[in-house]
Order: sequence, then structure tokens, then C-alpha cells
Amino acid sequence: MLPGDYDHSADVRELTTYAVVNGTVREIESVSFDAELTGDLPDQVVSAGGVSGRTGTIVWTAQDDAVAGREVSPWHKPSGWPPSAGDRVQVYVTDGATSYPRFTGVIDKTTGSVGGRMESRIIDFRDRLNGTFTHAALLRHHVPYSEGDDYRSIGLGFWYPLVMALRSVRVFNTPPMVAEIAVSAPLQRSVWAEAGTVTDATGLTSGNHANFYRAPWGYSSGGFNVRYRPRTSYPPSQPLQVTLMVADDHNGNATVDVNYGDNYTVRLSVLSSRAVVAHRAGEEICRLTTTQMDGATIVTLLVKNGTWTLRNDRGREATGGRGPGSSASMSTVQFNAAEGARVAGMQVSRPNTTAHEFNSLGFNPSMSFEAGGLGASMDMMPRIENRNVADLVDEICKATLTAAWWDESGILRFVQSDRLRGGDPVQTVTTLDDITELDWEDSLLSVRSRVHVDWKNPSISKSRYRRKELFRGRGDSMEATDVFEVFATPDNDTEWFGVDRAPRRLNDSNWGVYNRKRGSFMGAYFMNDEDTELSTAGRPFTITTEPLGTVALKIIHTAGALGTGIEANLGTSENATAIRTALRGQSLPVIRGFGEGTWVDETYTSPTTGPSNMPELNHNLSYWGQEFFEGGSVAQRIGDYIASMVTTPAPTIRNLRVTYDPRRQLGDVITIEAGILDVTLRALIVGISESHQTGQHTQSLTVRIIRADSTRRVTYDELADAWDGGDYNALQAVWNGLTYTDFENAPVEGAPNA
Amino acid sequence: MYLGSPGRLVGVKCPTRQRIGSSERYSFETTLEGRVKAQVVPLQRRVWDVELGQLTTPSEVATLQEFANGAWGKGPFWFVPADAPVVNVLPPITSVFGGQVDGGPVRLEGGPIAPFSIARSDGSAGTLQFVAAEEDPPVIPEIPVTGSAWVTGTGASVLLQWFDGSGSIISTVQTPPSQRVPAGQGAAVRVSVTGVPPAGAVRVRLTARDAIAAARPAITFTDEVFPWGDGQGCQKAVVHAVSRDVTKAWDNPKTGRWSNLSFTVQEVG
Repeated sequence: MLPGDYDHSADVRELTTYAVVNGTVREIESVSFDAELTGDLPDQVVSAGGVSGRTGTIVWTAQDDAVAGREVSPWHKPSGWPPSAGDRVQVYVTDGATSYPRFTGVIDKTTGSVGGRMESRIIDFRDRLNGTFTHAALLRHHVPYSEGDDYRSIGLGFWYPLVMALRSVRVFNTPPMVAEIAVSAPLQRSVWAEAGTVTDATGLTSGNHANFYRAPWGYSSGGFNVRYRPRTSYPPSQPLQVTLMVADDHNGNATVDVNYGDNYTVRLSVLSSRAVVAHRAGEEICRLTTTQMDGATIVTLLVKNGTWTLRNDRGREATGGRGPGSSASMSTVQFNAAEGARVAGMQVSRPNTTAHEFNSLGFNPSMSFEAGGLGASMDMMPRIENRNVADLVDEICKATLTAAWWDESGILRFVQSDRLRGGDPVQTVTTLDDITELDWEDSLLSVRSRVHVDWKNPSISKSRYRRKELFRGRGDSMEATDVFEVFATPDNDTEWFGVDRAPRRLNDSNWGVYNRKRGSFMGAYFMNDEDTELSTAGRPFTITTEPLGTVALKIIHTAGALGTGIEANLGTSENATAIRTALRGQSLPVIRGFGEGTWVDETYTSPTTGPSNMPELNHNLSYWGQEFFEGGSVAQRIGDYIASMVTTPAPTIRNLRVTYDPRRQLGDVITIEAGILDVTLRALIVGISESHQTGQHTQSLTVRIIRADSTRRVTYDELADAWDGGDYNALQAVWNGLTYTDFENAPVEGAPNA
Repeated sequence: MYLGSPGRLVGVKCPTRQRIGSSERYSFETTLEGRVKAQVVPLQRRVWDVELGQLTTPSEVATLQEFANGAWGKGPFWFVPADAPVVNVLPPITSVFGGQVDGGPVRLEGGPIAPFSIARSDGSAGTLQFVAAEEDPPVIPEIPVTGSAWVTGTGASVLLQWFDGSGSIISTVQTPPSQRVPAGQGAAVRVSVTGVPPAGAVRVRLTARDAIAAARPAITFTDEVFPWGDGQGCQKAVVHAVSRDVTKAWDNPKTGRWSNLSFTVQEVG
């Protein structure tokens, strides 16, 4: 519900509708649009009809004051009129006191006829999601950065790939990366870096990782120690900018240390009081107090030419001065947060023009999300290669029961289904004052006997060294001028981690390095036609490699003029004493990595069942929700959640027409007091259709019933009917120990005929 | 009745029939339990159905036809309907103009109450303006104009200002001192002023002087003040749906040719 004072039960109301195209107010004759949210229930149980999102039609009038002399022509657009496809359009409704946005989007298509009306079709920003996205596979406790390091516990959940895919098409809930970025970590369900590299990551207790909490934009995070290596290493004489988002419920220390070698560190810290302090080697340079940070969310520190400036998105500023330190370049960024901290959107950059300074403070989000209780936990994320972003977002939302819609201000919203339904009602509509049409349906169409959730369970093997054998050639043999290409790639159900894509060439000078079974190797040994092994020195035999995609490798073996009868075998030497006996004559190339994960198909069946003659429901969770550390799985929560809704038949409302209220939004929970039907319903608005013409503003809602409470008074006849055949002892037996209030709430409880 | 632009108002034969209609102000919805909810249209525009009568001569037809044919341009035009010159030539006034405030309902001498009045934002006595410059009515040369309004405030009066084609004031005429509001009046008193447009005048503006509040202004093309009616003038109108029945057209050219001309005037803007 949009904020504003509006009496939706008023007897006489006065409203005006107007449209703004590319910033200019334009006169309209009528406008109508439909808005829908999808994804909160599986497609099989809701009739997902028509186009989802927000679409509509505007019929334009002449834009001149009273009498238009000249016909409007699309071939001449002197002042941007008629509108062009892609023009930004907003529709507002005002009651004279407040303007409420009802539609934000773009012009899709404009049509007109000479002497007739001109009209435009308007749609939401869905075309923004056309782009491709690629990301390597990840583990919640990821493989090390280099051999022998600890595992990197980065945290993982389906929100991470969703947010990163949207960032790649410039839809943001935390500020976008600024130019000349060194490190960027949005912290939306993982501490994995968007720019720069995570070298170490842990939570505050052993075996743990960062925790993620609901914040107005999506997630904030606390309880971690993460070290990043910057993408580019800038010297301390260059300007430095550090940005951080801080939620209102932040209550623990968080620090970002930008280290230039060992002698100079720029520290930005946010205290539990939400005060922000900039330090250099323990000395405080400037501070924004708690009061100055009141209501602020984003804070940036700029260090330039010896002047340090702290500024937040409320415009509050604090400055100090201190020259730069040692001459070593930026080496690491250490980001630590206590359990009570609530931070996100960390960025370190070099603003090389003034236009880049404090860029993040003017951030306007184009997306926001609310995680629910159904869970998002993932132990492994599959590699994503050149996926269309709109398809990927669609797949993740449908799998995890996340409702998605474009709201009336053009912001893309995601809310998990259980959170959407769990909200408190924001308004009550009644059949006395607000509802002008109500159609209902009672059928078995959406009832199921059983719910199965199909999901992919990862089976993970990993090591702190590159010991996991991922691929081995088949030991082919070649003769002069042969060319063999080997393509090492994981199959569809496997992920590779930390692949060594620079195999070492083995020959007589170094067969022994193969003994330790770490890393990737390629090579060949040579036999003459008397079955004697020849030396590898000087053989015209080349092996080249070509990395492909995120993990695959192509190894090309080319034999030159080897000589008659000489055979090249792709394997380790059969006779070289440098190699351990058991490892001689093994096929090459061998590709190894830090780890491998395999996806195993599993199905969870909910114990709650419905009428046995109804079909079963299969929901595909796919990769996007796995097991919880404390037990149970996302599949289980989703399965039980869907089962609770589809195993009992319940009447639904097909059409609800109400008197106009410009504050209603998709996702609102409302109470419907249908006195005329003796029932009070709690419902979720999943669709709004509006139509505006001269003096007529109408609104129809599509709702899903969350709960129904009967308000019917029971008559004595009905009571007698229900208890007919029962005697006083039966009544006594049922009602023993219950109160008069219980009787009032359910008068025919336990009656034999009820 | 008159049609045209300020400085070029054309007199049209007095109609035998003139019906005025207004666009619908409310739309209604009924709730399931029977309550009726209304929605208001903020603006209403008027339509006049006019008939000039069966004895309209060809030259009288031509005067109107030139508007409908586009000889005067596409419009819009000022329209002074048949009853307006005696009732009130101003357009309907439903709200307070400009930076002035609504002084609230005002009791008029003799009993009636005006729904709202114009007053200055600081509550002092001074000059009050009723409509924007473009709504100042046009005048016809040599036809006297009377302006009136109910005002409060000792010594309050009304003033007529004559404007020429470029928007400069030619001269003014004000209520004589003996007819201004005497001291000690509780209800608003009606004051008026009459004048003849000087040469070169195309528009007239009515303002109240030394008034605390003013209500129910009226401008008429008469030489004295008449009972008040709400504004009938129309600042922007177009003529369309012209149709003509020939009543008499005999062979003998010496007898008359008469027709019955009917048309519609639509308020626009």
C-alpha cells in the first residue's frame, strides 16, 4: 500500500489521471493497464493466463490547448510527439492533494489513424533483462585460492546468482561498480567478489561463513573476515574511494582495511553506534557521528591529495588531512565484521576524474528483494555459461516460489511466497462500502493428491591441493604428421573447481614431477618399431592448449616428422626411472583441480496428502535449493508449503471489482469482509486491472485466498439439525472442558451430523 | 448573441431557440450491499443547441455560416449566448483566481448567501480581481457596459478598465462615491458602475476596489444594473453541426428567401 491519506470508502471522490512521457506531462483521453505478479505458486495450480508484468494502453488526445489545427504525424516529431518506442512513460493518479504513481514503463508501440484516435501500448521494463550472463561454479565452502591455503567459506544461496545476473544487465539493488574499480563485493548472500578476488574467507566461528540478514534492499551481512586481492594495484599517490552500505539495525564493528604493502593502511570502520570513522595507522582522521549517520545508508570515504573526506547519502560530510604513506602499491583489502554488523555493497576504487567521486551516494535502486523462510541455502552453484538473463531469473523464481513483479514505480521486486502471504493486512474492503462485483468458484481444478519436489543434490569432493583427477586422456598413439585434439570438459551433471588449465609438459628432463599427483600434465614418450623407448630430446612434437568457457581445456597434439616407424604415445614414460613404477605408462593428458561436484537427482515427497483421485504435482526445484546445515532441506520446506495449499479444496474468488484506491499495490494483503456471504477472508492481491476515463476510475483485483473465517450466525434449527440423533451425554462428552467462547466460535463442533 | 474574438465580435440574429447542456458531472458505482459511490469529473463543458428560426434571411445565415465554413479560422471563439448580454457576460466562475484566497461564504444584503468570495491573503482591504486576463470579456463599440459585484468594506467600489488590442489600459470608470459601500454594513452590498467603451477598446475588466471581500461579479451590455445570474459567457467555443431548412424560396426574386438555420456551439479547452 502506497503511503497517503485517502478515504477509500468516501461517498463522493474526485480523481484526475495524467501521464508523463520523457518528463513532459501529456493529455490523455483514457488509460487502462493490467499488473500481475507471478511465481508465488507453481504454474500448475494457478491459471497463469496472459502476459505477466505490467502492460496497458493509453489513448491520447490532441496536445494543443483547445483546437488542433494540424494532424499528428509519426514522420515529423518536432517536440518529441507522437511518442517513440522506448520513451519513458509514467501514469499518475491524483486526488488533488497527493499524486500516486500507478505505472512506470516504456512506450512499446504507437498506432493512430488519420482523423481518429492515437493510442500507445505501454509495458514495463522487461526488455532490460535481455542479456547473457556467465559465472563459474561455486561452492559454499569454496576451494582455496592457491595450493595449501585454507578453504574459502564464502556463503552461497540462490539469491547470489539472481542478483549477479541482474547486475550484468544493469538492474541493481546495491550501487553499481564505479569506474576504475579495485574490489567490489555486493554481499548479497555470498562474500564472493564482483571485481577483485577472494583469497581468504571465514565466519567468526570455525567452519562457518558470513551470515546474511534481511535489509530493505535485500541482504546485509555480519560475522566474517574476508581478504580480497584488488583487480588492479594502485599506488598510494592515486585517489582512493571506499564505499559501504550500512543498514539501520547495524550493531557491531565493521572495518575495511585497504593495505598498501605493510607500512600504510587506510581504514574505514563503522562502529556499533553507526558512527563512521576513517583511520590511518590507528590515528583517527575524520568521523561522521551517529547523528550525522541518522537515516543514511551509503557512506563513501575519499582520500585524495592528502585530504580525507567522509560523506553519506544524506549529504553529511566530515574532513581531515593526512599525507599518503609508503610507496608500496595496494596489495590487499581486508574486510572484517562482528556478529552484530549489518553491511553490504563494499567497493574500493580509484576515482580518476571528479565525476567518479561519490558516485555511489546518488544511487537509485532498480530492484529489491525480500528473502522468506522457505530458504535459499545452496552448497554448490552450477556453472552458468551464456544464459539469457530473463530465462535464468524466470527459472530461479519459479523453482524457489519467489514472486516477481515490476512495481508501479518501475522497480523490479522479488518476495518469496511465504513472506508475501505472511504479511499483515493493510486494508479492509467490505461488500457494504467498497466491493461492486464479486465472482467465486468452487472446484477441484487446483487440488492435488500428492506433492513431489525434484531437486539436485550436490556430491562434492575437494582438496587443498590440486589433487582431484578431473579428466584423463585415453592414451592414444600418433605417428608422423598426425594431429590429435583432446577436449577436457565436465559433463552436464558435473562441476569442476580450481582446474589447473596450464598443464606441464613432461619429457625426459622432468618425468619425476609427476610422482606427487598434483596439477595437470601433458606429454608423450616415443617408441621405435623394435619396441625400444627413445629419448624425448629433439623430437618434433608440439602440444598446445586453449582454455574454453569457465573450466574446459582443449589440448592439441601435433606430430612433426618423427621418422619412419617411430610412434608417439600420449602417456608417461614406461621406463624412466624418475617415475615411480606404478605411475609409469599412464595415459596423458591428465587434468586435475581442487575439487569436483556431481549433481544427483533426488525427490522429496510431502507427507500431507489430498483426495486420492486427483493428479499428483511435481515441482522442479532443480539446483536452486539444497540442504540446511541444521537438517532438512529447501525441497522439504517448499514441498510441505505447497502441499498445505493444494491438498484441500477451497473456494476461490475469480473476479473482485472494488471502488478505486490509488494506493493499492501488488503484494498487499487485505481483509475482505463479505458480510453478504457471511465470510471474512484474508487475501493476497496478485493482479490489479485499472481503467481511467473521464470521471470514471475503475479497479479490479485478482486475489488469492490465504484464510477464510465464517461469520455466519447459526440458527436454532441448524443446531437442532446438527445434533439430531445425539443425546445429552454425547454433547457432554464433546464439550467437556471447553468454554462458552469455544461454543460461540464453533457451535456445531463435534455434532454427529455437522 | 455574439461570436468572434475581442475587437471583432460579430452579432448573430437572435435565436428562436437556445438550449444549453452540460457534460455529465458524476459517474456512479453500486456496491454489493447497495451503497452508491460517486466519482466527480473535475471540469464541465457546455453545449448550446441553437435555432435561428424560420424567418432567417440569407445575410443573417451568412454571418453564422462564415464561422462554420472556417472563414474566421479554426477557432476557438468567444461566444456570448442570447441571454448573456442582460444576465452576465462573464464566464462561469467556480473558484478563486490567482494568489487570492477564498474568503468563505458571504451573506448578501437581503438574505441570500454566496458560496465563496474572493479576498486578499492578508485580509486587508484593496484591489480584487475576478478572472484571468484572457477571460476579460470583449466589448462592442458604442454599447454601454455595466459591471457589478457584492463587496464588503467601507468605501468599497467596482472599477471597469477598458483595454485596447495590445493589452494597454485606455481609461477607467469607477462607482461614484455616493454609491459606494457605506460604513457599518454587516452583509455584502451590491455596487455597480456603467460606462461606454471608448474608441479603440476591445476588452473590459471588472475589479473591486478598497474591498475586503467580493462575490458574484457580473458584466452586462446594459446601461443599468439588472438582477444577477451566473456567468453565461464562453471564452472558447467552436461552431459545428450546422443545418439549414429552406422555408421559402419562390420563383419571384422580389419576395424574400427564408430558411431555418440550426447549429451547435461546443465549449472547448
